[in-house]
Amino acid sequence: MAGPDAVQAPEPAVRLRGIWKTYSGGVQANRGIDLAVRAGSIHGLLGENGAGKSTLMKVLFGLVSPTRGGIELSGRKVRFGSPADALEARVGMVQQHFSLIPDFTVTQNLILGNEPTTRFGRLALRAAAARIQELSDRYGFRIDPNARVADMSVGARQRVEILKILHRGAEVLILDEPTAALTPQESAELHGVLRTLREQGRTVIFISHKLAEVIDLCDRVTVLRDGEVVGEREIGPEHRGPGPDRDAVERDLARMMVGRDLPAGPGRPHAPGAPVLILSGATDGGALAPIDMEVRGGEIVGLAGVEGNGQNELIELILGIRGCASGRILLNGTDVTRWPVDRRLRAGIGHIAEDRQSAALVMSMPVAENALLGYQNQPRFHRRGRWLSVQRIRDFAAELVRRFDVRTPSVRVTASSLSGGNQQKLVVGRELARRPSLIVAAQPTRGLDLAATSFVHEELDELRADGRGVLLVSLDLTEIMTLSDRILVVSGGAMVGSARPSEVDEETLGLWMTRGRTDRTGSVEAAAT
Amino acid sequence: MSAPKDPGNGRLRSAGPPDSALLPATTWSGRLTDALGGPLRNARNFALVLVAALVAGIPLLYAAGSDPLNGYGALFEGSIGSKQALAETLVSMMPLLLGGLAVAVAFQAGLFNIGVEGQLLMGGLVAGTIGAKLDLPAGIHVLVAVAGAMLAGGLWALIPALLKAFRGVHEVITTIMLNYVAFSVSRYLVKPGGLLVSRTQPSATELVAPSAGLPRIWSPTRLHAGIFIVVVAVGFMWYLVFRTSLGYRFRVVGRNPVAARFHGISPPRAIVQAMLVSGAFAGLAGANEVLGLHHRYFDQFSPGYGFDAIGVALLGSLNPIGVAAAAFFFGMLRSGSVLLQAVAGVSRDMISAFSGLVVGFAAAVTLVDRILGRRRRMRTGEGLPSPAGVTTQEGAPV
Amino acid sequence: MSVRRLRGVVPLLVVFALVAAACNGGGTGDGNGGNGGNGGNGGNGGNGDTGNGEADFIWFMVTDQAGLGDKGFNDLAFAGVSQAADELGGEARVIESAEQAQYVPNLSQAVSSGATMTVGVGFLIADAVHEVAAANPDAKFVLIDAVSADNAGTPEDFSDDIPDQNVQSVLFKEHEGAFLAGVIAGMTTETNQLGFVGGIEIPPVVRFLTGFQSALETVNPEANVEVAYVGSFNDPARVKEVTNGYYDTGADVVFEVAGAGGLGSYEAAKERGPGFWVMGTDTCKDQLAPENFLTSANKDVSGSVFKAAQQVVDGTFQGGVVSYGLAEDGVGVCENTFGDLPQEVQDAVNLYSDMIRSGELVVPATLEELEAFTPPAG
Repeated sequence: MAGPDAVQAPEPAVRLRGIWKTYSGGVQANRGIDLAVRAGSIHGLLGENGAGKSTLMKVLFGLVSPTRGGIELSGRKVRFGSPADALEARVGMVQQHFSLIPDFTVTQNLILGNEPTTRFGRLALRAAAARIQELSDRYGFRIDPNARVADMSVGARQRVEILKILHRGAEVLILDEPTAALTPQESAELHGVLRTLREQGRTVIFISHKLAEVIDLCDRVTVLRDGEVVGEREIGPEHRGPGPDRDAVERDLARMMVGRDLPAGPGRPHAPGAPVLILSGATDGGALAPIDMEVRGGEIVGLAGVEGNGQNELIELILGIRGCASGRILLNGTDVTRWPVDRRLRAGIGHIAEDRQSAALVMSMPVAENALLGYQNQPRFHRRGRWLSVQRIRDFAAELVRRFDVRTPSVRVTASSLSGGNQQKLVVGRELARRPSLIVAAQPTRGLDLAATSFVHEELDELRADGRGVLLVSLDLTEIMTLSDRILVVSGGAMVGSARPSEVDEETLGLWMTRGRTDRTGSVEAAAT
Repeated sequence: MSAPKDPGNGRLRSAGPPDSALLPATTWSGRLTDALGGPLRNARNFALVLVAALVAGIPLLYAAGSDPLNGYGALFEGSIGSKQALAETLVSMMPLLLGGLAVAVAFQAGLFNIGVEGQLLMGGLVAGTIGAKLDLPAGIHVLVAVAGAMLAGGLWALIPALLKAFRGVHEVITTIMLNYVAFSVSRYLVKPGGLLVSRTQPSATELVAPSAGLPRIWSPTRLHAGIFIVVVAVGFMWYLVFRTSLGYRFRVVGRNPVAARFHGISPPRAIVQAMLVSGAFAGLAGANEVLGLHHRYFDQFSPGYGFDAIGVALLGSLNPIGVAAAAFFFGMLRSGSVLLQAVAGVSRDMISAFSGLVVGFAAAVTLVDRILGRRRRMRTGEGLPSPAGVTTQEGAPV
Repeated sequence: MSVRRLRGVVPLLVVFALVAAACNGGGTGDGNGGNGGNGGNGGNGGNGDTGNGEADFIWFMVTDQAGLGDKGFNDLAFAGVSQAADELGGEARVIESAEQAQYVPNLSQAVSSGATMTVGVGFLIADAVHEVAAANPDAKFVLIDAVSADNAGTPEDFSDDIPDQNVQSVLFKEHEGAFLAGVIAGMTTETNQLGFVGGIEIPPVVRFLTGFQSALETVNPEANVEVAYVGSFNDPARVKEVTNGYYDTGADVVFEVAGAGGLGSYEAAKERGPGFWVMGTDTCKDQLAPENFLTSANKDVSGSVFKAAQQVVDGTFQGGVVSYGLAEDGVGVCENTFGDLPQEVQDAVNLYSDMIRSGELVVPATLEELEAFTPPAG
C-alpha cells in the first residue's frame, strides 16, 4: 500500500467531481461521476463497453471536454484543453491503439515531438537513450532503447508506450485496457511493471473488464455502468489468493458491471460428428510446416499459440487467401484445396477476423453495406439478376442489428461510428447468418467487455450445439480452456501439441506454446479419439 | 520447423494481414474516398468551392484589366445566357464529364488513373479511323466506332491494370508513361506521311463518314447526339458503382483491400475490371468528341481533357451525379471564356487560372472538412480518430 | 465604389444586347445564315466605345492554340490586323483559342461581334473556318496557309472540293522565296555541307525544302543537304540538338523551318560564333543571332492580311484560293541583311528573282516536282 506514512489527510492524486458528458445527439456518457484516486495506488476502472470508462478517462486526459464537472489534481483545480495540457500537469494516458512508429527505435519514438538537441542543434540521441535506459531499469521494463519498435513483441510495445508517458514526466498514468492483446506471460510482466511504478509512488488508473486481473492488481476498484458509478471496492491481500473472499468479490463486481448474474460457463458433453474440416499435410510452402488437423461438427477446437506463430497463416490457408503448396484441404468431405475464397465461403465457412477493423469491416462504409460483405454475389441481394437491392440489403442488416443487438442509430451510419463491441457483434452476426458448417473465430472477444464476450461465447456454443464446427484461435488461454473440446497448440508454424482441456493446465500450454512440445517432435496427429 | 526461443519475438514472416505488402490495409485513395462524405455535405462543399472561386476570381479579373461585374456578366451570358451559349456549355461539358466518370470509377477502386488522357486519345483515334476507313450502314457504323473506341481505351488501361494487379507496379507511374506512348503513337500515325493522315489536313485523319457521325440535334447549335450518350453514361455509372455487385466490389477494394480478400473479393481482379471500365469511359470521351464535334481525329484535339477530368472527379466527390455537376460548371467556364475574351478582353489564361482555383479549392475544402470534423468531434467528444484511423464511440449507445 | 459599380453595369448591358443580338441571329438563321451577319451588325452598333470615329470596322482574329506571343504566325497575322486598324480605321480584336473545340465558337463569336473581316491562321482551323463561313455567307474571312473548302468532292481527293467564296484562302509560294535563300546559301557555304531542320512535314514546309534544294542544284551542285523533321513547331530543344548535329558533321549553313522551335538553331549557332550560319523562315530574325543570321525565306503574312483588309474597304475582296509568290511580293528574302552580302551573291539573287517573276524559271513545289527539276542553264 502506498502512502502509509501520510500524516495529514492526503489529497487524492486525482479527484473528478460530478463529471457530466453529453454527446451531440443527446447521449449521456457520463452522468455525474465522482472519482477519487489515491496517490501511489493502482485504481481499477471496471465497466462494460459503453459504460463510460473511456469517456471519463478522455476527460481526465484532455481529449474530451466535459459538459459539467471539474478535475482536481492533488487538491488543485485544473482545466485541460488538450492532452498537451494534461501532460504538462503530469497526467499521461496509454490508449488502446498503439501510437508508436514501427520504423523508429524506442529512443526515437520517445523523444518524438520533444527532441533534445546538443548546443549545436544536433539530436542528442545518445544522451536520450541513456536516460531511457535508466528509466527502463528503474521500473523493470526490460527495454532496449535502441531496438526498433517493429522488431518488438506486442507486450514490449505496450511497455514502451508506458515508458513514453513516464519519459514525459507523468505521475498519473491512465492505461486503457493494456492487456487486451497480451499473452498471459506478457500480462504478468506488465503487472510487475505496474507494481514497481506503484512502489515508486506513481499513480495508475487501470481500465479493464477482466475481473481477474483487476483483483490481482488493483488497490481499489470503481465500477461504472451506464455512465454512473455503481460501486467501489477496496481490494486487499485477502482477496488475491484463491478462496471464498475472492469468489465473493468477483461475483460482486461482475454483478455490478452487468447489473445481473452472469450465466455459468459452458459445460457439456463432447459428442463430435463428422469432420467438417480436414487438413492433411497442407502447407503454404513458407511459414507453415505441413499441417494435419481436423475439426468435427459439434465441437470447438481451440488453437493456442503465441501471437505470430502461424495462426494467421493457417487461417489464410483454410480460407483460401493463402495458396496451398502441397497437401489437401477438405471441407465437408469435398476437396477445396484449389477453390478461391468466395467459393469456400459459399460452401460454408464463416470467419470472424482477428482484426475486425482491417479485415472484417470497411469502416467508411455504412453498416448495411458492411452486412453485405461476403454476400455480394448472392442472388438474394439482387434484383433482376444484376442490380443490388438496397432494400433487401438494409432489411438484412436491420435483422442482424436486431438479432445480435448491435447498438446503432441506423444501418446507414458508417461502421466507424459504432463502438468496438458493436462492430464485433455486427461481424459475428454477419458470419453466423451464413449458417456456416465451419466457423473460424480468431480472437473473437478481443477488446470486448464481459457482456459482449459472453454473447460471443454463447453464440459459438450454440453453433457447436447445432452440430457445426468451430475453430477458435485465441491468445487468451482462459478462453481456450473454457470453451474448447480439444486444444491444439501451434508454435513456429507447426502443430506442437494436442490435448483435452481436462488433461492440461495453462502453464503446460504456455510451455508448449513457447518451447514446442518436448515429448514429441514434428506435427501432431490432432484428431480426437 | 523449430520453435523460436524468445516467446515475445516469435513472429513469423507474415504476422500481419495477408500479403499486406501488395495492398496496404488503408490505401491513400481509400483515405481520400473516406474523406469525402455523404451527398448532402458534398453538395454543400460543391457550392462552397464555387462561391470561394468566384470571390477569389474578382482580383484576377481586376488584374486582367476587366471589371469583375462585367466579367462575370460575360461569363454567365456566354455560358448559359442563350440557346447558343447553353449548347456550347454542354458541348464543352461532355469530354470532361465522361473523362471525370473514368477518373472517378478508378478512384472508387483505389486507383489513380492519370492515364485517362492517353486512353481518350486512343479512343478518339480508333473512332476516327473506323469512322473514316470503314464503310458500314448508318447506325451500325457509329455503334462500331464507339465500341471500338471503348475497347481501345479499355485496352490502353489494361496494361497498367495488369502491372498493378499482378506485379504491384504503381498505376500512377504506368498510366503517366502510357500517356506519352499514346501521344507518340497518335503523332506517328497522323503526321504527314503517316498511316492514317488525311490528304487535306496534316496531323489529322480523314473526315468520318456521315454514317459514323453523331448528328446535331439542336439546330443551329453544335449540340450533338453525344449528349444522350453522356446522360446514359452518368446513369449507368451511378448504377454500376452504387447498385451492382461489381461496383460494390470496386468500393470495398478501394477502401479496404484486406477485408475484400477475406470476403471473397479478389483485389487484383477488381483492379483490372475497374481500370477496364475507366479506360472504356475515357475512350468513349474521345469517340464522342471525334464523332460528334470534330468529325475527324485531330492529333491535338484534346487540350488535356483527361487531366482536367481529375479536377472534375474531385470536385464531384467521385459521385457520378456530382461529376456531372462539376463538368457542367467547368463547361460553363470554357464556353463563357469566349465571350469573356471577346467583350471583356480577358485573356484565356485567366480562365485556366480560374479553373486551377476551383480545383485548388475543391482539394482544400476536403482538407478543411476533415480538420473541422476532427475539431468538432473534439468539442463534442465523439470518438476521436485513433492512430489506427478508427473511431471509437464508447459511451454513446444509441 | 458606387461609381465603379455603375461603370460596370454599362458594359454588362452591352453584353446583354450583344448576346441577344447574336442569339436572335442564330435562332432564325437556320438555313438562312445571312441573319447571323445582320445580328452581328446590330452588336456592332452597340459597340460604339471604340473611340475611332472615322470608321467602325472591326478587324478580328482568332488565334490557334499557340496564341499571341508565339513569335510566329499568330503574331504576324495580328500585325496585319493591327495595321488594318491603324491605316484603315476601326479596331483590332483577338480571341485566343485554348483548344481545338473552341475554334468554331470563337469564330462564331467574332462574326456575331460584328467583325468586318475575321482572320484565322494554320491548317488546324480550316475545318472550323469552313463551318462558320458556310453558316454565315455574308461574313468575310481570311485563312492563312490552308484552304477552306466544302470537302464535298470525292474522298481522298481535294482537287474537286469547292473553296468557300467568302473565305480568302491565302497560300504562299514558299518555294520561290526559299529558292532565293538557297541561292545565297549555296554561294556562301564553304564546306558544301548544309542542313535542313523542319517542324512537321506539311506541304508549306516541304515547299521551303524543294525551293531550297532546287536552288542548291542550280548554283552549287556539289552541295549536300541533310534533312530532318523534329515533329513539332514548338520544340527548340530538339531543333537545337539537330542543328548541333549538323554543325558537328561539317555543315556551315542550317535552314530552320521549325516555327517557334527554330529558336534552337539560333542558340546553337550563337554558341559556336561566326562561321556557323542560320537561315530562317517567315520573317527576318537577324536580332536573334546577328553574327550568324544569313538570310531568311520570308512570307508576308501580315502584308497579305492587310491586303485583304484593304480589299474589303475598297470593295474588291474576293474569296477562293489566292496564291502569293515573288511576282506578288508575297515572298522573298530578308531585306535587312541583303546589302551585307557579296555583290556577286546579290546579283545572282536578282537574276534568279527576275527569272522566277517572268516565269522563265518554275521552282518545284513538291518532292515529285523536285525529282523532275532540271537547273536552268546559266
